[in-house]
Amino acid sequence: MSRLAWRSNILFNRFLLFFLSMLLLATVLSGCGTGKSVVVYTAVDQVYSEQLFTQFTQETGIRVLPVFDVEAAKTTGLINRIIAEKENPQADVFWSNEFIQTILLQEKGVLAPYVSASAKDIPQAFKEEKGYWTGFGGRARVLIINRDKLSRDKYPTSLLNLLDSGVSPDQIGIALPMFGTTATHAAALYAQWGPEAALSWHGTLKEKGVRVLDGNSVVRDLVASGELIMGLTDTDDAYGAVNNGAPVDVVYLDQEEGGMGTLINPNTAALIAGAPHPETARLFIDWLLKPSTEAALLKVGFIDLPCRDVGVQSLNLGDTVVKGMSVNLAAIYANLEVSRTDMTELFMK
Amino acid sequence: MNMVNENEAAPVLSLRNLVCRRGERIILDGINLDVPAGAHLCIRGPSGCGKSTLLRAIAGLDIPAGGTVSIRDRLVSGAGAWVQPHLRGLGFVFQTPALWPHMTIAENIRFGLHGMGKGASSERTDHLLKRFSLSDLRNRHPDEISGGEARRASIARSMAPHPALLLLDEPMTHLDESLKEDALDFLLEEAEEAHTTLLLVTHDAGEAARVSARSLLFQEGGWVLA
Amino acid sequence: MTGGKKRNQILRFHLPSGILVLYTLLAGLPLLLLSVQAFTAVAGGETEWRTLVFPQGRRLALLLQTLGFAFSVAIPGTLIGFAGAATLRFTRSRRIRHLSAFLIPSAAIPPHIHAMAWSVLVFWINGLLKRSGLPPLQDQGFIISVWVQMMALLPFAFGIMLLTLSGISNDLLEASRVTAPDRRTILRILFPIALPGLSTSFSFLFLVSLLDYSVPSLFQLNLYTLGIFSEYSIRYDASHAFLMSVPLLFLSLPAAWLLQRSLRRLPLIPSGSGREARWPLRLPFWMHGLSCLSVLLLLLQLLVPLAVLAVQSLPALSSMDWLTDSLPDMGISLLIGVGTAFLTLPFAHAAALSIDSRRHNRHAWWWLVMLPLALPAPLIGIALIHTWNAGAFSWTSLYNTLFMPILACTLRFLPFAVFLLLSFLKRVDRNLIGAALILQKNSLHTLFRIFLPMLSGAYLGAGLLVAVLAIGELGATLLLTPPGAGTLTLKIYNYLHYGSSEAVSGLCLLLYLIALGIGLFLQKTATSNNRRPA
Repeated sequence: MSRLAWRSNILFNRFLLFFLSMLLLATVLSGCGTGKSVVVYTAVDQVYSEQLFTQFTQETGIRVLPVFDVEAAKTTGLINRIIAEKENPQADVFWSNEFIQTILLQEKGVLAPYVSASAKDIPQAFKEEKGYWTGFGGRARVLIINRDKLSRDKYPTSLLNLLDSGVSPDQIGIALPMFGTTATHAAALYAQWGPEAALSWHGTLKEKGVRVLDGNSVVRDLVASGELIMGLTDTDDAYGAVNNGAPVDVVYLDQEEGGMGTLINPNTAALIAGAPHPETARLFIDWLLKPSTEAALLKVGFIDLPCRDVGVQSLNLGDTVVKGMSVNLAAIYANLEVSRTDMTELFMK
Repeated sequence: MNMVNENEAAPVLSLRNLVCRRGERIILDGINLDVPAGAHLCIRGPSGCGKSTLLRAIAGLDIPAGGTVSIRDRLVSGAGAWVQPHLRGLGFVFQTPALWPHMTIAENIRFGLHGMGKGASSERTDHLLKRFSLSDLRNRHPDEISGGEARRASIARSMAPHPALLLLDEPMTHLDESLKEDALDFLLEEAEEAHTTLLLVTHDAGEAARVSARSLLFQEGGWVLA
Repeated sequence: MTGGKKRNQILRFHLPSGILVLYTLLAGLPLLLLSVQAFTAVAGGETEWRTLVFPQGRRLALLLQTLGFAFSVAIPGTLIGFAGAATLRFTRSRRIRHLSAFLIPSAAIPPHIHAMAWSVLVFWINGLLKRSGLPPLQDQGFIISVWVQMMALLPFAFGIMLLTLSGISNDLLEASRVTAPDRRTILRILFPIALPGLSTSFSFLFLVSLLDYSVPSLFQLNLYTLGIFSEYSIRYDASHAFLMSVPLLFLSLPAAWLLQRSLRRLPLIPSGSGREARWPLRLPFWMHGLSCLSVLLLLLQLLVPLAVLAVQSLPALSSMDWLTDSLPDMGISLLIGVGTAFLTLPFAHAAALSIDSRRHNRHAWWWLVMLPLALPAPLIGIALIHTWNAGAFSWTSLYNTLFMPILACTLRFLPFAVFLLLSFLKRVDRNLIGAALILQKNSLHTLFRIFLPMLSGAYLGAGLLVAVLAIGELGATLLLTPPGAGTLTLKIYNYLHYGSSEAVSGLCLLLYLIALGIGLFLQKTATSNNRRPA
């Protein structure tokens, strides 16, 4: 055999050996499982939801097969997938950290009604009347402020005086209001103030040069690092920074007497129409909506505001009472398309 | 080993104790050689004995490990000196035609004439195209001509700037006998006319005999002038 | 025709064609169905289609900005890649030459990580500048977006140029060196011969920058692709998104055309002497400066993310939970990577052979292979869901298995494998195959004993390249990964949102080290395979 052929054969064998060993390693690492399962598509952060899935499996013996969303896909990745899979659904349950996309799925005819026994003490305002989805504990819209950069007496108290604290507008951040909970917040302001006033408020932010960022977590990170002085974000992001020891304060806006309150964004759970595992899906929803689960979520700090008394204080808020906006969820959803169109027009220039 | 030429004429090329290595291996070990102006010298020997390495060291395409190289009494390599290949005043014909694919044949030949005026370089190019029977191919690209034509074009290109010393590294490899004869005729005519010194590496005894009466031979582990 | 000849025909032409027909079904059909759906929507009363296909006003401005962004990344990126590759190709220093083993694997670092690292660095620098009373660097907008995108893509530009330059025979350069100074050799010989490589690199960088909004969106630069996503999230309508992508296709398809044209013209001839280039460059000072700058930039793109990741992941070393928790994700990522390599190679083999042949249908294969390169990843994901979940291929029951992300990655990264195989195919001495065809028992004998072993380095390289790219893929994987089978990249993005920067840095560092290991292995293989037959 020539030297070349010999060398080539060695290489060819090495090539095969390498791929086969990779395949073996990958199979071992990924593991396999059988038995009862439930497929959960979730937009909830993996670090929190994973703990819950493990707990559910320990308690019921049912394996959870999750699909997680990522913020880089602007939280539309999973929704698109569910809609695209409508003809042959693969998910059993959709668990979201907000309600807008859940209502959208309802409109698209992707959800099936299910009234869970665990939800009987959840206020009606959090529940779809036919049971297409059920809301529970959630998070609130807050202002996160770097306390090393601004004295406490200058903290804004209302969205309407956000720009009056003496802080340069380019030191204030918000996320792009076409995506995620910032879009929901914009729609909520449309519902609360009326489209003209809400558009004008956003227009002022843009005009004055407020920093518009990729997501709420980016707002949080920049405020925590001191690159920005303050920014609008959600409690889960804000307390993440607090718990990491960042020098930040979390401020709930519009809490004064007669104030409109802040947006409270509940979690939602929904059954997918034509779910491949309807029985385990219902069991999972029942388990998720149990007061004890909500209490566990409060304890780990994933939700900050329970929808009912679950006998546990929020890890982050303690006994602070937060006033929520009075507009209902359906009204917010009704304003979403027009507010998103306006925001796209305004901020994509 | 000493192969200093007995000829009294001033040498165009002088090598003193030239040493070349490839990695740890010594390829050329202390070569001494004087080649007088206008001489034609063939270099012959088995594969791997260092024929091409010698030419590359002279041209400055490889850096010798020791010794000196002088061309026309000018030290170009060794003893702290280093002259860039293009300033050594030599031509090089490779084993492959190595014609630049993005240029026409005329442009390939004209490339080395950058020191001349436009008129003179055109005249020189035309002369060489005619001399090497390439006039009809002047606007063709290398991939549009035959192997023999490419070889002639390659020789014409290397001779264009009137090099005092032309190094040819097996330039006739893969050519059939008649093409080889033609190419050698063109080469020798042009070299004679321009009084160019030739150093030709070849395996072919017939080819060597046509070019020169003298050969530098690698025999029994050493170089001899035959 | 004799039986032997028939078998030869089958193996040399019909088998590759058959494999490509299969590929057409897998790749072409989903995309065709998506376009049919979009045009049906138009026919069924979608009145907006004209404004979607022919953008005006804000959308037009966004499109122009996107175009400007893509040019601003592609032109300097290509030049730096060229200068850096030239320096590494011709340097006499072995150590510097070995740098390429570190630089190319850095292509596997997700752009998001580059963005994170550069943001942190700019923030630190601005802190220093502020203390010195100097104006800060721009940390948002066009310039930093271009910079970070260019940094993320430099390894690709560098790799393409290194491949190009190593395909240029030394004789061509040395023939010039004996008559002209190095500067002239570079400008008149090296540059024009490397031109197809330059345009390959340019069109690749242009295409990626045109289609990927992830880095610019982090720095507040709005691009047309982000606009598509933005409007998509209002309507959740794939047809609408497809129609909005049409103006982008007008730009991306010519770029893809240029890419394939340039690739076919790459000077990938067998290097004549096989001798290493030892070319002590004597460059004019400005060219020397450019060469040093390019190597410096290549090192920066490698070291900045690495240094930031290392510093940020130090606290994570106290608890290795993040690592053990990520083992299943690593397993899935590896499976997707290996699966993609296995699925891609037969297609790449068939496509490269067909494209390399002189047959008339080779252009059609080019376009087929290139098309997914011109489409945004989520659209590919959506198209595959429509075909495999409830559409034409639902009977296969392959939906909800790892086959789906593997298929999506295959579609997305097949062009890269084909590029690599083609470049190696062009370097194969045809006489070696010719000799085998004369002496063979049958075509399979040649295929398995001569052809595949001879090209094993190329197959290994192509396989590993697509494996690395598949492990880092996000857009389509997110839509197609089966429940319970998250990948390492998905986890990184998810943790990034949560703000667990230590764990993210640790995972990224891990991903980077895996890619680096693969790169070094490739480098070693390529070196040992570089010996040429006598």
